[in-house]
Amino acid sequence: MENVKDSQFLNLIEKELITVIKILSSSFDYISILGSDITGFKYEYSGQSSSLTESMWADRGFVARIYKFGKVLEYSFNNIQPGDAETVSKKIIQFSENALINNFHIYPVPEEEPQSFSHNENVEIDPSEIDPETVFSELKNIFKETMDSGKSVFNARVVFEWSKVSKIFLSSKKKLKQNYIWSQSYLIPMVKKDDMVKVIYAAESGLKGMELLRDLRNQIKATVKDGESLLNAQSVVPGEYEVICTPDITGLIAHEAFGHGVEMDMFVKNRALGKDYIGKQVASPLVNMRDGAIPERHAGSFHFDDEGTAAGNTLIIENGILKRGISDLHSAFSQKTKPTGNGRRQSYKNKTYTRMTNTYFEPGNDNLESMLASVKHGYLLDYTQSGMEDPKNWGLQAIAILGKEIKNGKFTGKIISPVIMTGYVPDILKNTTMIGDKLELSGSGYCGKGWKEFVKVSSGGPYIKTRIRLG
Amino acid sequence: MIDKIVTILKKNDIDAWKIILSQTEGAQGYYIQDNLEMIRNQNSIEIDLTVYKDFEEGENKFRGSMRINLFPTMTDQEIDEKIKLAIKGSLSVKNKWFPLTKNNDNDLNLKFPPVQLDKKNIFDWITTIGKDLFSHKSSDITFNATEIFISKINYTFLNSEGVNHTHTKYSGLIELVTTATGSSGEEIELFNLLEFSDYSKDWLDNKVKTQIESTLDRTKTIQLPILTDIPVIIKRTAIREFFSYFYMKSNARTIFEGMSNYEEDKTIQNGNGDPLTITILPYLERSHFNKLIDDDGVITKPINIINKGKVSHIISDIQFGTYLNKEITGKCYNIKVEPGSMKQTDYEKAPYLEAVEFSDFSMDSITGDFGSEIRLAYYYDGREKIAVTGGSITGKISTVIDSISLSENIITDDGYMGPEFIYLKGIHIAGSK
Repeated sequence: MENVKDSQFLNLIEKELITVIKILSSSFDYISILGSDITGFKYEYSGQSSSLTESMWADRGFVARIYKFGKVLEYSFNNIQPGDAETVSKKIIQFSENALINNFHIYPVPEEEPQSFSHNENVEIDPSEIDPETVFSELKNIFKETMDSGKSVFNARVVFEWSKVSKIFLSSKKKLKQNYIWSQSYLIPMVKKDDMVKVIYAAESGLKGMELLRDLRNQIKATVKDGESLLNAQSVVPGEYEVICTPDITGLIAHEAFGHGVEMDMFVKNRALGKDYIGKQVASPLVNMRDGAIPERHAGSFHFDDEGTAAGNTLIIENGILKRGISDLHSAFSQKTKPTGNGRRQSYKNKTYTRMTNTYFEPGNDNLESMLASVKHGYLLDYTQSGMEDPKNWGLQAIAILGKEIKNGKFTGKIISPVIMTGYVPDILKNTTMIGDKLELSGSGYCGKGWKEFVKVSSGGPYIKTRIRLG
Repeated sequence: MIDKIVTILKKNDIDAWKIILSQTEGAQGYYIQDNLEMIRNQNSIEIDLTVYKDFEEGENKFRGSMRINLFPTMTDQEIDEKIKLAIKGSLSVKNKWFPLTKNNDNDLNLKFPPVQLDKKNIFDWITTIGKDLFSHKSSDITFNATEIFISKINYTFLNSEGVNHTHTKYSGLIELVTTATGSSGEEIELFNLLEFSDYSKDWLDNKVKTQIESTLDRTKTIQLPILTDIPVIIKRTAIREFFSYFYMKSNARTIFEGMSNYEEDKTIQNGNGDPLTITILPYLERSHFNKLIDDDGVITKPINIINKGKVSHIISDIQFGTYLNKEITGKCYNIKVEPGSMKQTDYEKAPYLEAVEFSDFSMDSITGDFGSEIRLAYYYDGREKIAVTGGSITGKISTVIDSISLSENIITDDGYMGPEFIYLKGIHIAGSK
């Protein structure tokens, strides 16, 4: 295992940022600065073309958060050189003088205990040390094996992306540093029959490096087989069915149906129905759900959030009862709870919101065989296509790429695609009658708040059995 | 900063390069109800550099490339190291050779028409737009969690072939969340993201009025019933997403990679529906998709991609257009669709489902599968029109394209000018008992 190194740039500029905080401390009631230095690359290979670009997550910049008379402002910037502390401080003061004339919602100054730590995660194969030629050679091998795995495969795309995240959080009482690498990889086989083209994918992700590609390779044959099955897929006859959700779809439901619904900044704005259901039954007693950057170490993990709060581990649903939500600093203050370490931002250019990290249903006691055997007529749903939250009205929209029909406990061979799952979230969770015994997480996508503000998360759970309306 | 980068580039062994620089001054206002929760400033310089290296294998000529980000805080040594890394990376990217855009001095004065947003400081616009928005507040409607972003962006494109172009543009966004209370006391909300490149109070008033009306209607909804074999009418923002299928299918890269079989003169419709005529435009009033030049520095121009049900042109960026031996059109993103023959009164006589607000209408641009959960629709059962919610619609382009009907009246929305509604048969509707 290799230790992820510090950002030399953040180490170099740290002194300057501390000076900015010292200069501004006399003008404001509180000031903190978050610095980010994120590097990483995305490698993409297909039969006819390839590309190598900086990761969409790569960024380098700072955000100063300031409090004055309970009013909160943020100044984000990415141009500071050694010796610039005074100039940057003046710009922040100038910005605040113009902005503070407005009427604001009032927040108290964050109460901080002195804290100082630095975490450097380990990674098995550090992708920043690997020659691009070697990465493309791996991708090419996966591509070739994919092309050879099915007669209908006419092309495929293989993607590997990594990001090295270095962050520093500074205030008068805190100095926190973290460095970690997350990676993700995709295999996207494209299959064809006459004019009909279908696409499917396999994905791997986590706080890992190049070793991810080994795991991706193991998925080639099953993914191509499922892709080819889409060429004979039928439309689902709309209706309510017994369904077995794979861990991927379980995660989609956990994330969209309930995760967004317990982001407590939505409680503050009265935009989430969950606020009125704390302490009430919202799911089957079999259901337990968690969110946390620890203890699971996956794509949504970190050691401190973007407000300098240590990473949390929140039990949201316990035995079907909604126990608590997740929060950033301001929503915790407004709801009179402790912040759970979920204050996250897309980049230094964006505001902090309450955001999920690794969100999942905890495993139960059922095995997949017994779950499948219990289905009279229904579907095994697999492959997340997309999802959209509706925390105010607890409506679910989630789309799976395929469903495999089950009759009397056996697969019939009939495939449906695509499959839109809709319904009232507590109904879906209360209908959960079986929960598998193995937790699996996936973090290959990203999460938006509405249609913007993207952050890296993972979600998952075990196989679950429930009833959902399919269309 | 650019001069420094170009000097370092010239010292390295590079065959070609392009730089896209965006300097942004942004103002962001966040509200809880009509109280400001926070004001944010964004002051950033972002630089995308792509380096190109040419190499040959036998008689084949290749052009490798790697795109990297550079930051204003980088030292000369850091920039040089990163460029060297990009040179090494580009040699592992084995793409068939293609040219870069050449300089054309006549095009240096390209600029967007004057905008209202240029008349005030961006922070003043946050206050102005907030006031305009909250003037619609009433006892029936509250605005919740409004977010207003205005950015002024100085954009520069230059490359090793002499293209050097700079212009200023604005980018705006309003997250509009409206809440109303139903007769049994439950609160209902709708939210939409309004994106724009210029502001007008009339435009905002219309958007807000429509959303208020829909929010109030959503308080009166019943669950979508089980419905079979009735036509579905799609309106508002889903329409642009629906037509995005044809945009993707007409794209040179999609064709080159085998995911589209579109070619000039290919007939894509056979039936009695309204023939489709679709044009891609570089500019539409207030559209946030507007582009003077594309990411390769090609000057954008209108591209008629579908003409009366036949493919007429392929959208060709410089790399994939070269591979397909097509005229390089550049890429722009506003979609214009010619109107059809249908009036609203034509479909109002028989049962129908008119869907206006979706959770997230999605179109799979490869398979042509589309659908969404319904947040607000109107179901006419032959006697009365009822507001409904929940459930979903799904369909396939291949099923609907031959019988599609388009409205004869048109609307202009962000990135879209065309029929106000699409009338579709053969859609699956998943309602509840």
